[in-house]
Parts: sequence; structure tokens; C-alpha cells
Amino acid sequence: MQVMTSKRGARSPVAVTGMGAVTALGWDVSSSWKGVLEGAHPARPVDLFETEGCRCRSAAQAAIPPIPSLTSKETRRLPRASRFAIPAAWEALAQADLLISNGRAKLPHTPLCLATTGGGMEFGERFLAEILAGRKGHLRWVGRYQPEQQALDLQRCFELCGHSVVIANSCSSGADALGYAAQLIWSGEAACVLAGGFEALTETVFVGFDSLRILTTERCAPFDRGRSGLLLGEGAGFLVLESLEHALSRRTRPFCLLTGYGQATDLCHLTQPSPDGGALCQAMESALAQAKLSSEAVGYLNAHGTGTALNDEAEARAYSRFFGAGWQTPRMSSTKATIGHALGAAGAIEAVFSVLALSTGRLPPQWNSPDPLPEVEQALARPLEAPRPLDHTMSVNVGFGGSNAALLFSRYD
Amino acid sequence: MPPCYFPVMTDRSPLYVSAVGIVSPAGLGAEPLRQLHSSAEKEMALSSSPSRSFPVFLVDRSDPRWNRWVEEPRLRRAGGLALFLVEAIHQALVGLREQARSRMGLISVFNNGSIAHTARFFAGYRGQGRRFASPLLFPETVYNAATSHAAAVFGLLGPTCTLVGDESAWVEGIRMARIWLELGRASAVLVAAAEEVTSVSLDAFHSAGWLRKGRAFRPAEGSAALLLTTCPQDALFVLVDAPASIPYRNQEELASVASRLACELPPGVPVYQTAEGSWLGPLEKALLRQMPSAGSFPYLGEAFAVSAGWHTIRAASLLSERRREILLPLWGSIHQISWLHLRCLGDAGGRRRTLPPSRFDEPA
Repeated sequence: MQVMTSKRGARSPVAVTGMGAVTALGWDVSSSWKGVLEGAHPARPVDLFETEGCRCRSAAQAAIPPIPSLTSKETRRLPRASRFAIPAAWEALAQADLLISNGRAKLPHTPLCLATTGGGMEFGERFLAEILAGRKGHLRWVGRYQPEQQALDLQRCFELCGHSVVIANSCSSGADALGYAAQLIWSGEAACVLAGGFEALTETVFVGFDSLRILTTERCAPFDRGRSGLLLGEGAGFLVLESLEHALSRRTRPFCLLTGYGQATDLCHLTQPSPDGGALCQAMESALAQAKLSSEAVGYLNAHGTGTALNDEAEARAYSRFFGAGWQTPRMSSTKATIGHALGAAGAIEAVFSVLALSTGRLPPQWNSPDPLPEVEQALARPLEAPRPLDHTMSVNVGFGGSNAALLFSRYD
Repeated sequence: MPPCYFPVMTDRSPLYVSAVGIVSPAGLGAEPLRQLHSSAEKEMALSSSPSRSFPVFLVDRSDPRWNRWVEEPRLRRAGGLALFLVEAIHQALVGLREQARSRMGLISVFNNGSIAHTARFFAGYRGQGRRFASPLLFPETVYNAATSHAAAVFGLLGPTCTLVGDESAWVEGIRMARIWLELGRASAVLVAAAEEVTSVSLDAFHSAGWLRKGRAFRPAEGSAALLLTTCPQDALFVLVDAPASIPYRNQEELASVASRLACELPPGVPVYQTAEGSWLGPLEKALLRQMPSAGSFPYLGEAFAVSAGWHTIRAASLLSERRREILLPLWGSIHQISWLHLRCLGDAGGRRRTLPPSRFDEPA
């Protein structure tokens, strides 16, 4: 059990008051959620860059949403990552009633907790291509690819002037950004935080995953015995987190509370998870201990479930160990079968789905997995499974470098 | 733009720095950092145009102490970035009990990340074809690869996190460490930063106009690490305050935010000037000319959060019975500024605790 006391007294509960998402399934939360529930298949041939020579040539490539508050010239200057991040953040701020009519944030000092793995990497690629050709790199490419530039893009767009933190813990980054935002509130350092992750498909990352031979050329089938790899995705997910007191003082009704965040590092290998999933169990245990709950309390688990051989096996083993052999609850699924793996944005987008499952009682089904691994067979949420009341949901992410993160959401009544 | 302010967290528990680690162009450990000679400056050629070169501050990789990492399996494919990080952390952990690592957190801060691996991976698949892209190189391009290596090499079992940003990210890392300690997430936290200069990053600085004639900017590489605890016992100095950073979007905003920072610095406390030699130097000088100076050291180039780490340790070495506190403005070169407030610790006999060279300056 983690001791959660602060010099400033009892920690404040953290409320979720706004959510936004851009995925390959749509430009907002509702269209993405609809596609997740209906089992959409977003994979399509990548046309952002050349994939000639790659074993896999498709991904869950997202369409770019419009940004009405910016001119077309301003929009064109943005890296793809910012073009996902700004609309998702907009939706979250608007839902939390934190935007004024001209699109500026109502609370300009709101800090940003951001997550990404690549930032504006496509600009970095153009810069590298130029210098490889012996030319001086263009200022635009070198000046706008680093992740802090996306923080500046968000600050410019919403006229925010709070501090920003960019977390790059690979595929758990999104969950860690939300977790750290909650920690800022628990510790009394902030009352309201805009937190989220963003990721854009880029050639280097695509070719990199292809070189590891973990991209599927078929349907992404998390936790299925016949799984053949992951489907890369892109997009952004943002949540507005506030201290409950702050939310209620604004007469805002929270969707739910973020009651636990656990993080643990797997020291086993740079890219492969420890077969026993010890660090993942530790992260889940830590999140539950913080909320003073046992594992039986969790009604739905949004698993990392990439669809790769090693990840899903280790993850399934960890869940079986944590929830007990033959476990049936929490009900579980990996939504990566429908949105792909959005890397640094994954944790934030999947947190949105976990909150929606909690608030609607609807379980995102596990699509494409007719022959599941025995460790998770009884627990996988199935299509047409009846909605059920849920008190707590959990979202889990695992990443390169051994990053493991678990977020726990609880009903607010 | 609405008015900004610096939320000062003076009611926070102080953070005690119990050990430090340094890799710099001046050498390994803190002592060389205080005795820098200008010979650390070297010339490096651009990747795009090898006939053009610029002055940079590089780490001496021929030092035999680097050999201690040759046999480390986790570092066999790692580059300078991970090596610098691991070496600084090693220095900060010298003499510490193994058990202390069981709840020790690690926060790493980078700006350019492993640009060397990214450029090699990119050149490889563009040159030889995507089918022949290196699966060994790709994982090393990820921002948190060096953090992962360091946690594995030292068996750090607490939480880890990788932050990306300029000098201000050093302060944000310290704030994150304080929160972890206050919330009981870790019993001690290492905040470490690393940066590597390559011909590709030199090209990036060149393209950004940072190497133009008349600009003082000199890229530098190395690392810095602080071991932070909430326990004053055996601590070297205290970080009294680490306020939230404030962003700026252009030079105009920087000037206005910087003047506000200058106004909010506690009056009468000597200031260690960190921008001397950099493009922000004249601004700092103009803003802080009324404040007492804590002194300065020779220019060591700029390595973003690493520079912030070097400045922190250099400033700490200036603490004394007569100068018990020092303020350290940290002018982020890209998007945020912040500052640190350092305080001297007296021992039981009332004597100042110094940064003892023996603690981290191991013999070759």
C-alpha cells in the first residue's frame, strides 16, 4: 500500500470532467466509442509515406480533423501530431466547460501533462533526408519536430500559460501523463490539469516496428492464439482532470473519479516483457492499493493487448496471476483491435474508453479473437454482452523500456 | 496573453540533495566542473557538409573510466546518451547500500534524445531499403531507452519516467521527484539528464540558426544527476524551492516573462547567473543587474537540462556560511523558464557541508 499523504493534508479526489479523442474511427469521442463497440476495422494501406519494402503496409491511419480556430496557413505549419492533439484537447476542454466562445481556455494557468513517443517526427525525417542529401536542413523541419513544440502549439491555440511536462515513456506514456496529472492534484500542486497523449504515424516508427516483425498483415487479434502482430494507429486522447472540490465549485458534474495510479518498471529487457508479468502486477496492485480496493472490485479492464506473441502472452499470464486462474471478472478487452496501437496516445485514448465503460456500463467487446489464450478465455468481453453496472474500471499499458502503468477509475455518485 | 504568475511552493517540504554525478567536457565528477579550462572546446564538422565545422564542448571518451561499462550487457548497443546517463547515476550511487535502490525512482530528462541512433536507423533504411532496416538499432531510438538501461544496470525498482524538454525540464523533473517523495511513491529519487552532440545535432543547431556568427551558443554534451531525498542526514545541500515553469512562445514573450521572473525572485539572495555566454546572457544580465551576484564559472556550452544540472551543482559549490542561499534562474532555450532556490546545510558543529570530491570523484 502506498502512503498517500501530503504536507498539505488529505489528498483531494481527482475528478474527470472532460474527454476528447481523435482516432482512426473518428474525430471525437462518440464516433470512436461507436466504432469500438461495433467492431470497426480501421486498417488501410498507409499513404502518408512510402512503405515499399516493408512486410506490412497498412495501419489504422486517421483522417485529420479541421481546426476551425486556426487559419489554413497556421494549420499547414503544424506537425501531424498537433493536428490530432488540438481537436482532442478542444473536445475535452469544451466538455469540461473550460472554453470561452473564441476558443480560449477559461483557466489560462492550467498546466499541461503531455505524452508522445515521436512528437513531430515527420518533420525530423524531412530534416534528416535533407542533410543526408548534403543540404542544409530547413528551419521549419528542425524547429518544429520536438515534442515541446506540440505543447507550445496547444498553448498558442488555447492561450494557455501554465507549465507543461512532456512524458516519453513509450507506449505507457499516455497513462503516465494522466497519472502524473492526478499526482499534481493529489499533492496540491494543481487544481485542474489538461492531460493527454498524441501520436502521428511516421515512416521511421512504421519501418522500425516492421523491422521487429511485429506488425500484422491480417486483422489485429489481441489475446488470440492465432494473433499475428500489432496494427499501428495514431490519434490523440485528452482528459480534463480536476480536484473534486474545484470541479464542484464550478458546478461541473464529473464523469467519474481517477482513484488510483500505479507504475512499475520491468528491468528484464528493452523491448520484451518479463514472462511472469511481475511489473504489470505491481502497477495494478499499486493503483488498487491507493484506492484501498481489492482486485474483485474492478468490473472492466482495458488491457494493453497489442496482438503480438510476446506481449499478449506475458500480459495474459500476469492477469491470470493477479485475478486468479479461470477469472471471469473483471471483464476484459483490448480496444487496439479496432483503433490500432497509438503508442504515446494509446494510454490516454484507452483511458477515455475505460471512463465510458464505467459511465455507460457498456463493455467494449474483444473483436477478432475467436480462439483466446486460456489464461483470459473466460474474461474476454464478447460482442453483444449485456451492459452491466460497473463501479470501477482499470486501464493498463505496457511499453518498450519496461514501462508499466495502471489507471483506476471509480464511479462518482 | 493573460498574465502569468509563478506559483511558489514555499510550504513544500525541502528536497535534500544527498549525492551528485557529473559527466562534462571538463571531465568526470564535480571537481573538474569547477576548474574548467577552455581546452574543452573542440571543432566538429556538419553531417551535411563535412568541410564546415563549428566549436562544440565534447566529453573526453578516451578516459579509461569509461571502460567499466564495456562489459555491461544492457549497454552493448547503447550510445553516448545512455553511457553519459549511466555514468552520472553511478557516481551519485557510489557508497550507497544496495537495499536503498529497492524504492528508488529515476526521472531522466533529455532534449534531443538519441538522435545518433535515430539518424543511423533512418540513414540505414533509406540507404539499404526498408526491408533491411535494423531491428537492433530501432529500440535504441526510443526516448526512454537510456532510462530503461540505467534502471536495469543499477537495479532501480522504484518508478521511472522520461521527460523531454529544455533547461526547464530539469526543474520539472525535480518537481516530479518531490511529488513522488511526498506521495510516498519512492524513498529516494534520482533526477538525471543527458545530452549527446553529434554531427547531425550540429546540423540541427546550424539549420535553426543557433550557430550563426555573433551568437554565443556552443553545443555541449554530458550528463548530470542528483539523488534527492527528504532526509537531511548526510545531505550536501537543500533545494528549498522549484517553482512551476512558465512558457514563452517567442522572444517578445520571453522578455516579458523573464522580467516577471526577475521581480518574483526573493530579494537579497545572491543569484548565480546561468546564461552567461549563451544567447540569453544579455537578457539575464539586464534583468538581474540589481541583484547580488553569487559568482560564476567559465562557460561550458549548452546542453539543455544537462546544463541546468551542471549549474545546480556549480552553484551549490558556492554555498558557504557567508552565502547560505543562492538563486538559480534557468532560462529554457526553447519554451519555458524557471528557477531553483538552493540553501546551504550546516553539520552538527555548525560547519558548512561541502561537496566532497571523494564522494563522487573516483580515481581513474
